[in-house]
Amino acid sequence: MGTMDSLLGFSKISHEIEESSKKASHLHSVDPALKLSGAIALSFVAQLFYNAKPLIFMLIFIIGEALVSRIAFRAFVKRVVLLSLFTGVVILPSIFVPFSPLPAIYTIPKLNLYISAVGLQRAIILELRLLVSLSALQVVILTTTYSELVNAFRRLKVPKIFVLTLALMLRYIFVIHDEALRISRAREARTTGKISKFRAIKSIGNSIGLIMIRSYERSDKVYKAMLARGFNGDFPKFYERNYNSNIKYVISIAILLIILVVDLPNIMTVYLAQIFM
Amino acid sequence: MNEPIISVRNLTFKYPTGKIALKDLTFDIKRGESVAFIGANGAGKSTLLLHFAALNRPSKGDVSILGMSIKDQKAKYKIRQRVGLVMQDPDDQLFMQTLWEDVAFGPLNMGLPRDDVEKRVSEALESVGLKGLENEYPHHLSFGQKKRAAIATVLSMNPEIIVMDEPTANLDPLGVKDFLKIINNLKKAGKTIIIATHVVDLIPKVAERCIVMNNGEIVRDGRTKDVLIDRKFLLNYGLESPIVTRLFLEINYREIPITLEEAIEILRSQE
Repeated sequence: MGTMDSLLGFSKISHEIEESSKKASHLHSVDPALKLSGAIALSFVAQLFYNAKPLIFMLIFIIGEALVSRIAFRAFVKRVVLLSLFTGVVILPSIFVPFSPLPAIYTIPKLNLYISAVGLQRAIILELRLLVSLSALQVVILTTTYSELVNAFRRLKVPKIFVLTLALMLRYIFVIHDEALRISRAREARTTGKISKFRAIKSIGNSIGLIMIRSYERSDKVYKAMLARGFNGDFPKFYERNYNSNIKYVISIAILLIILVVDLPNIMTVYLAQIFM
Repeated sequence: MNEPIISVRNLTFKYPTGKIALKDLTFDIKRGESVAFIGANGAGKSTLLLHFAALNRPSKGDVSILGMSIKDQKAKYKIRQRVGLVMQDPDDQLFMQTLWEDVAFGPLNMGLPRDDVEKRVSEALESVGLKGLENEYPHHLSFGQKKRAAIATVLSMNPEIIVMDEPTANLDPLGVKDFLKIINNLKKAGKTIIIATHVVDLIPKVAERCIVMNNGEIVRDGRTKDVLIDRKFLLNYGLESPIVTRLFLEINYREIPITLEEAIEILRSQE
């Protein structure tokens, strides 16, 4: 039932995202290309900070945006926290890295590993940067429909191949999901008792292989359908609605960046002082 | 004016694996005709239909659509503008994020101005009963709605020839009824309709001409009624007559219908 639960969970998540993206709010009325650029800019700027204060300030700003946009806040928090926990595992080893002669704040006796203060600070900064980037992107995803997102990437001159792949992925992930659900149900219906973990994994592996084969076969048919309707290597330009909150959004991001940039030298000084003293 | 709208001459098609899917086919289809290709699974119907949309290239022979050869690289784009292909699985045909984008895809690729595109999309969706669902995601539509949406994606291009592969597969009875209404409207508008199916009960309602295929070859080409009442012939090729035809053949009735309506008329005339 584990596979079935995950597959059914996907339906719930996708429904939450779709409902959220269709609401009306200040952020929903911002040009998606602008929102995406803003989120990328915030993620980039976050990487420049070595101090927790500005990162926490940015996070508060983004959470404020999320609250004002009437998105499903619980879903937003759940997704950001889950994703950051997943990537947090990658960051975890850095707490054991000693970059200064200061004593360890904790030692793991049998493994002879020590957690350094600087290592812990580094891990926290990395995690905060991650939280800022994830939150910024989540707010964009939850306030933008799929087709607006694809058009935004196109307008930002992202290479055609990536835009087409994204567009088709956003459409066919649901078809593949339904396919996976049917295969999973068929497998469950023929499982009449407990099976070994090895057999279960082998069976799931076979199902994944089958989905890949079906996806490949489908891709040929989809391509023919596209050609039959005049596809020439790129999707046509679709009409977009008017967005009337662009200026407010640009001003709010600009104010945030100015505050951060003005404080940046101060923050850099503090950091450099910590390294060399 | 008497020239056929589709002309197939000695068409042979071989897959890259070496399998010969179509063997030396020759036939014509006139403008405004409605033709059903019937055959068991693997007869080559779907493969043939892809040629009508210039999506397959013949290994031998040629197919001419509206006077243009499908082998001509430049002509194939013009052919695709005038032939609408409706595939068996609507998920293969609905590849955009919203219904509006899917139905507008063809007209936009044809370079039509915005007003024209909007009008065509609106009319196409209305003709299939999906007006109001323009901003819906395809994965939120029911199977029957997706089938109708797939037809709309083709209607918006206003093709002269409409080719459908198993159009009623997996449709419920109401879905089949809706589909028949759409086909009848298209026939009244003078479109040439080509359908590939093995649902024999459907054929009399959509096509006057029936071409039976088997193993990549044409084994019979005639009026729908003549083909469908020849049960012995159909059984040889893994097919059957419509159920009402079988009933009347079984009781050796003097008049054999191919639809329920015909049967009712026959019986009522005996009263």
